[in-house]
This record gives sequence, structure tokens and C-alpha cells, in this order.
Amino acid sequence: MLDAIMDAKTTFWNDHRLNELFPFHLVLDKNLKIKKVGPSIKKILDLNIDHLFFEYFEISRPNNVTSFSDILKHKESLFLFNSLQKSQFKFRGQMYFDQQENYLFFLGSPLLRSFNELNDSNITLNDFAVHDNTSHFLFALQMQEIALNDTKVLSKKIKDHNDYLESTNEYLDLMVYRMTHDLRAPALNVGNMLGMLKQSLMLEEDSDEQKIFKYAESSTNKLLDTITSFIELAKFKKSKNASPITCNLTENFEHVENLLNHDILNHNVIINKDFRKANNIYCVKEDLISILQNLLSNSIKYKSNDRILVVDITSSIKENDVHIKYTDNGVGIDLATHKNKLFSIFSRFHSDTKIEGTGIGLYLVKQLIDRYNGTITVESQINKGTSFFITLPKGNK
Amino acid sequence: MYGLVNKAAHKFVVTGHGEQVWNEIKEKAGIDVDTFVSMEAYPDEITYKIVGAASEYLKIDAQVILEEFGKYWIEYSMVEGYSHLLELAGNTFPEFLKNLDNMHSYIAQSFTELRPPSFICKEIDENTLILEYHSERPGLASFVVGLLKGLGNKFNLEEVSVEYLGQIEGKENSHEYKVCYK
Ligand code: HEM
Repeated sequence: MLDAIMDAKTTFWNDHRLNELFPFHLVLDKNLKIKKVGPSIKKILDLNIDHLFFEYFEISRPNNVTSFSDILKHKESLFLFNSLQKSQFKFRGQMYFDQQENYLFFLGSPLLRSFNELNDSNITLNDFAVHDNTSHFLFALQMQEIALNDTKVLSKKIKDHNDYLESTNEYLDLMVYRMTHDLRAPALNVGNMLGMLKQSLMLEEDSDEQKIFKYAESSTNKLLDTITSFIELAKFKKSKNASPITCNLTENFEHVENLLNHDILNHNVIINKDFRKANNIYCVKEDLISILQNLLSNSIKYKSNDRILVVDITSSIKENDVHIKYTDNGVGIDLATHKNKLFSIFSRFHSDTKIEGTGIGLYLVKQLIDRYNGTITVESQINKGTSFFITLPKGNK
Repeated sequence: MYGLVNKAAHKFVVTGHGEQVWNEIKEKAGIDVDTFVSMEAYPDEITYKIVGAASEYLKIDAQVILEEFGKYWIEYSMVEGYSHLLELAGNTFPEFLKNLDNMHSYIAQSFTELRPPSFICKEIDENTLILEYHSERPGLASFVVGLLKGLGNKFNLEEVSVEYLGQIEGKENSHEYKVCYK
């Protein structure tokens, strides 16, 4: 009975409930004298009862709060104040004046932005009320730091890998350089020497020696062709970083004709071109040249021996694309058998092994066109010829 | 489980047996992850497979591996960025165990896919306590034994013994331990 009366009399301000629910509390009287200090604040600061709040603290938010009445005016505000004893400790919370008890309560917790601010304080999870979010916040901070460290380690890994790839690339570039110079020049020399040798020996038609010579020549040509294709492939990988511009079909096709001039004249190739309807394509100039050159050199390689090679190339515009139709009257491709592999690397569609080729040309053409989300389709008839239909983005006039 | 657990398992194996053994174990477990990301949730299966493959490869009982891994986890967290969390969780061994539950809850609050265990700690006397471990996962009872022993070492206790009292009746993945310390 007596206990019950005593209990009823116990006021909230000096009761254990306050300690448990708000371990970082302060109780002040109307003169802002400290009347009680929460157990967790006691752990970090040395505050004397009946001394003034402002002896120990400086209010940083709200601004210009210096008296009890100032505090009452801001009763809806978040209060931030710093310890004058230990400047690393800041507190955040609510000031609540209880009229019945006639006391001002600070209810809150330390304002922490990192674990370091808890240094040499002995504070542990127990010192925070269970409902207090501060400890959660600290954990989240720490986990974030761990995640950040992970990211750093991962990005270092990626960088190392990148460095490795770059050095591998450099090495490959060097190989390509070797191919062009160290391999191509001697192969060319062998070809020339063979030619000279053949002339000076004046071999008999159909003699064994002449057959051997022919075989040697064709092998040398195949070798040269392979080297050239590999060089082109390497260039293709590298040109990916170039930016597209408006390219003129007439100009670039003429350029290709010049490059292949020797073969064109040799075989009396007839070329009919008409770019009047669409003359501008939006792409990297080298890519366009590569596409056209591969088409034309394929036509020459696979021309029919029964007739003069005729190539027709025309262009037109459909919406945002330029459509190019390229036709020859060569030996044609057996599409029924080869259609699926037509544009894959190292495929050859002409069983005639006398014709030199590496199977890289059409693969490269398709890859280049894909870069611009263009399309290429093919129609062909054996011994009649082949047509390619290409779309590429149109350039600005 | 979150990547940090698998990351610790990786380091646990590498520290004891070298990177090569880890690669063998990973291969055996059929795990195709190069680097675990701490705060990413991975299927529990991965962790179990690592333990299983390690047990097979090293010819050590899986329960023994789990206990050793538990001890290692404490050493690991002291150096791998979790030391602040360990410090915050308590200045003494019993205080730490009382906070174990909340500590895992705080982490769970930030990471939605986390399903950490719960703990209840009853102090019997100043050298004895009973710890209840409530998990959503099966088979990790020995892991807790190792963790508790590891913690004892961290607090430089003279002595710590952990007695597995058994499964808590009616609860499949709940277990009870008696912890004596000096
Ligand atoms: C810094 C210290 C610690 C951190 C950061 C931590 C964090 C974690 C995390 C993130 C998980 C994975 C949960 C999931 O992915 O769903 C986990 C699991 C676990 N933790 Fe801790 N932990 C710590 C210390 C401890 C200690 C001292 C114990 C001692 C008993 C413990 C007992 C466990 C157990 C048994 C699991 C297994 C998961 C399960 O049963 O479901 N942890 N912890």
C-alpha cells in the first residue's frame, strides 16, 4: 500500500523510466540550472548539478537562443548543441517543458557522423535507447564504408586488368606492324623474284618446272592475300573509336577504283555507277572505303572466265537510310548451301581453289555495316552473278 | 548470405591453406564468382557449398570447419573494417553478448535482404550465461560455438567454455548454449 502511494508520487523527471527511454536526457529548471543528467551523458561528460546549462553547452541551432523563454519559443524545433568541455560531442534532440513537473527536459542523443567521434568514450550500444536510431545510423555508416572499400578494391582490379589488356593490345599492334613490314615485304619480294626468275628461265609450256612455278606463284599470292586481310581486320578493330562524318559515295568509290586500278585495267572491268539519288552516307570514311573495296575486289576475284566483268552500283534514299544495290555478273554463290555462313569469318563459298581468298572480306563488310545498325542482304545465281543490298545511315546534304 | 560472409570464408581458407586450395575448393563447389561483394546478397547455397567442398577437400568434418570459421570470423572482423562495430557492441564479453541481437538488427535495418539470426542472453551468475540462438537457417549450430570462443579470445578472457545444450524444443533452427567464462 505504502509502495503504491510512493509510486504514484514518483515524478517522471527523477524516475528510472526517463533513464531507460532517454539515457541521454538532461533535466533543467526555469533558470536553466541542471537538475539531472542522463546516465549515458554522464558517461562522456562531467556535469555538476545546479550549474547552469550554458556553463557546459553552446546552442548552435536554433540561432540566438540564450534564455529559458527563447527555448520555449522554439518548442517545435530541433535543438543542436555542443559540449564546451569536449568539443567533439554534439547533441541533437527536443526541448520539452512539462508544466506539471515545472521542468524543462532535453530528450535526444549524441549527434554522430562517424565512429571516430565516439573515440575514447566507452559508449556502447547499451547506452542508446532501443528506439534511438543513432546506433542504426552508425552501423549504416560503417557498412557503407565497407561497401566503399569493396568498390575501391574492385575498381583497382578492373584497372589492373585494363592495364594488362592495354599492354596486350600494344603487343598485338606490334604484331600487326610486323605483319605489314616484316612479313609482307619479303612475301612481295619472293613474288617479284619468282616473276623475274620465270622470265629469265623461259620455261616450256606444260613442263613440270613450269607447273611448279605456277604453284609457287599462286601460293605466294595466297600468302600476300592472307596478310592483307589480317591487316584489314586489325584496322577494323582499331577504327571503332573514330567518329562518323558525312562521306561522299562518288568520291570514295573513285578512291576504291584507284586502289584496284591495276586489276580493273588488267581484266577490262566495266563499272556502271549512279549515285545521283543518294550520295552522302554518315559513317567513318575508312569504313565506307573498306566496304566498297571488299565488294569490288570480291567481284574481281570471283569473276566468270566466260565474260567480261560488269559491276553495277546504284544508290537511293528511303527514310533515314541510303540503300546501295551492288551487282556483278561473276560466278555467283550457292546460297542454298552457304546462306547461313555467308558473313561468318573464314568461310569460303567457291570450291574453286584456284581462286585466292581468305574468307575475311564479307565478314568484315557485315561487321562494319553492323556498327551503323545497317543491313546487308544477298541474292545470287550460280554462273549469273551476285547482288548485295546494303543500307547505311544517310549523311547530311 | 551477404557477400561479407563468403568473403570471410575465402580469406579463412586462403589464410590456412593458400590461394591454390581455395581455387580447388571453389572448383569443387562449382562456384563461378571471382570476387564477393560485401553488401550483396548471395544465395545461401553458395556458403553451404563452400563449407561442403572445403570439408571434402581438406577431409575435415564440416562441423569442425564451421567452428573454426566462427573463431576466424571474429579475428577477421577486427581487421577488415568491422572493428568499430565490434567495439560499439560492448566493452566486456557479457555486454557484447547482450547486444548481439540488436547489433544484427541494426545491420538488418540497412540491408533489406539480410536475414540475420536473433539471440537472447540470460545471465546466470557472473561467470555463466545461457545464450539462445534463433536462426532461419539450418546447420549452423557449430558456427556459433566458434564465434563465442573467438569472442572470448578477443576479450582476452582467461577461460571460456561453450557447451552446446541442444536444440530448443519445437523450434527447428533454434539452439541453446551454456557459456562459462572467467
Ligand atoms: C562485427 C561483428 C559482426 C557483424 C558485422 C555480423 C554481421 C552478420 C551478417 C551480415 C550476417 C549474414 C546474415 C545474412 O546474410 O542474412 C551474419 C550472420 C550470422 N551472425 Fe553475425 N555479425 C557479427 C558478429 C557476430 C557474432 C559475434 C556472432 C556470435 C554468435 C554472430 C552470429 C552470427 C550467426 C550465427 C550468423 C549465421 C546466419 C544465421 O544463423 O542465419 N555474428 N552476421
